[in-house]
Amino acid sequence: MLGRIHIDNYRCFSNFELRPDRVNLLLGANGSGKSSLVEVLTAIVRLVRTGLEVGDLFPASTLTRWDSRLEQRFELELDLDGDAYSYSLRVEQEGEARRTAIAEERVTLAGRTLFAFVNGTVHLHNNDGKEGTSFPFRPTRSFLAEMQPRAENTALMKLLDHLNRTRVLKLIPSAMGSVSHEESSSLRSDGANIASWYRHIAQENPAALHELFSRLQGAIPGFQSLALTGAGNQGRTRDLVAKCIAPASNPFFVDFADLSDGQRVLVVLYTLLLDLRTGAGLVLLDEPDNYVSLREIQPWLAALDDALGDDGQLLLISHHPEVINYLAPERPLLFTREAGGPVRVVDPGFDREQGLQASEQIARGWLDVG
Amino acid sequence: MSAERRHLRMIVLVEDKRQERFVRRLFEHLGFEARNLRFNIAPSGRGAAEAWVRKLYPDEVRALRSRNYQKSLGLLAMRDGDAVGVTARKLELDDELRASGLEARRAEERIAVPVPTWSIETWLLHLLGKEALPEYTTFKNSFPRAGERERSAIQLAAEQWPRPSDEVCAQPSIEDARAEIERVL
Repeated sequence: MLGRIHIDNYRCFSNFELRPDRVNLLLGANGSGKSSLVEVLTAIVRLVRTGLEVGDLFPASTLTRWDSRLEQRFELELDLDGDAYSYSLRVEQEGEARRTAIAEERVTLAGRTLFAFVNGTVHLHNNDGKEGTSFPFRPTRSFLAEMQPRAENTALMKLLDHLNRTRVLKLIPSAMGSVSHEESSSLRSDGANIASWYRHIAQENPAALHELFSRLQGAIPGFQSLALTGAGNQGRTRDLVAKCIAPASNPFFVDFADLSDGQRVLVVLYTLLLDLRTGAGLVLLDEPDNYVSLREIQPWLAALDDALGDDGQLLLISHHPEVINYLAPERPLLFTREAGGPVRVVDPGFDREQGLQASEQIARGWLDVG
Repeated sequence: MSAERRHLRMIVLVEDKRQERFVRRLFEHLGFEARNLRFNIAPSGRGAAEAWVRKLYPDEVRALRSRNYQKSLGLLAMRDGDAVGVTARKLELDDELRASGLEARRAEERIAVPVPTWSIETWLLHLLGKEALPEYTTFKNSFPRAGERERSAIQLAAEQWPRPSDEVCAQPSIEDARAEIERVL
C-alpha cells in the first residue's frame, strides 16, 4: 500500500506530502490540486512501466509557476506485505533547450538499494542490495520499464508489478466505442478501448462474467448480458453489444455505443471490479460518479470496497454528495490552496454533533479548516 | 417471505463502515436485495458518531411516517451501546423523537434500533464462535482491519445470526437485537 507521497516543484505542489490510507476521498474546490495528484501518480507509473519519454510525462510546463528552480522531485513509500519500499525520482528541466531529463531515479527496500540511475548510469543491484551491473543509459526514459524478471531481481519486480496494477479512470462516455480490433489487457483512463478490454477480460475470466451480468442486470433495467459479435468480414474485429429484453418482447441487441452515457459508464465500472480480482493495486478514480444515476452510486461503491481486498488502495475524487457522504467515514482529505499558492491537505474535521451530512457541511462552508 | 423481503427498501443509519459492512451482509443473508439498502454513515470527524445517528433519527422517522401508505419501507438506526448499554441507548432515541415533537416508536412500525454492546466487534467475535463476551468492556481492537480478512469474517458472522427457531442468544445485546431486526422483516 502506498504510505507516503512527496512532490516538490510540480504544478501547485511545493514540498507537498501526503500519507494516504486504504480508502481516500479527495475533496476540495476546483483547482485545488486533486486531479494534479492523480496526474503525478499516473505519470510515475507510466514512466516506470511503459517506458514513455520523461519529457512527455513531466513537461517543463508542469514546473511550479512561482518557483525558479528547474528540478522536480517525487518520492513514493510503499508497504508491500510488510516490505518497506521507496521510489524516488529527480527530473531536471532545461528551460532554454526545452529538454527534460531524469537526473536520478532510485528504488530501495528497507534502505537497501535495488536500482539506481545516477549521472546517466544505471546501477542494478540484487535482492540483497549488492551492486551488480552498471551501464550508461539515456536520461530521457526510465530503465525500469525495460526490466525483465530474473531470480536476482524479484524484490524489484515485486514493486514494479504492484505499480503495474495501478488503474486510472477519468471516464468519457462519448469516447467509448463498441469496436475491438484486438484484446487489450488494460483500460485507457477515458474508457475508449472498453470493447478491447472487455474482450480480454472475457477471454481470461469467462467464469466471472455471470456475476458481472447479474450486477449489471440490477443496475440497468432490461439488461441481460454483453457479447462480442463478428464485425462483417473484418477478420478479428469484434463489436461489443448488449443483449437486452423489454416486457413482452424477444431479446434484442444494442450496440455498446448506442447505450446511454450512464449505462456505458456502469458497464465500465462493474467490469473494473472484475478486473481488480486479477490483482488489485492503486485505483485512481477521477469523478467516476459522473453520468451515474443516484441510486446506483452506493451499490457500486460497496462492491468496490469488497473488490479492493487487501492489496487494493483507492484515491477517489468527487464532488458528488452521494459519494462524499458514503466515503466521508473513511479517509476524507481536503485539498486547499490559499490565494492560488501551494496545495496543502487537511482533515476536513466534519462535525458529527450537528447531524448534518458531510456534503452539506461542505456546501454550507461550515468546515473549520483554518 | 424471501421474495417479499427482496423488495423492501430500508434506510440504515450507522456509526461507521464496519457496522455498515455487517448490516449489509446480515440483510443480504436474510434475503434483502442489497441495492435496496441505503446507508447513511457518520462521517469521520469531531464528536461522537452515535450522536450523529441520534440527530438524524427523528428526521428519518418523520420521513418514513410521511409515506406510511408504502408498506415496503423501513428504517434501521444502529448505535454502539458503549458504557451506556442497550436500554439507555434506546431511551435516548425515544427522547430525540419527543424533543422533535414526534410520537414514540409504535410496535407496528418497521423501525429497528439494534444496539451492539459494547460495540459491533463484540457481536462479530461472539457470532464467530466465542462464548458470550462481557458487554461492559470493549473489544474494538480485537478484529482485523479493513481488507479481505475483515470481509470474510463479517460475512461468516452475518451467516451465524440466530434464526427465529434458535434458543435464546447468550450475548444479551444480540438477543435484544434479534427482536429489533424482526420488526423490519
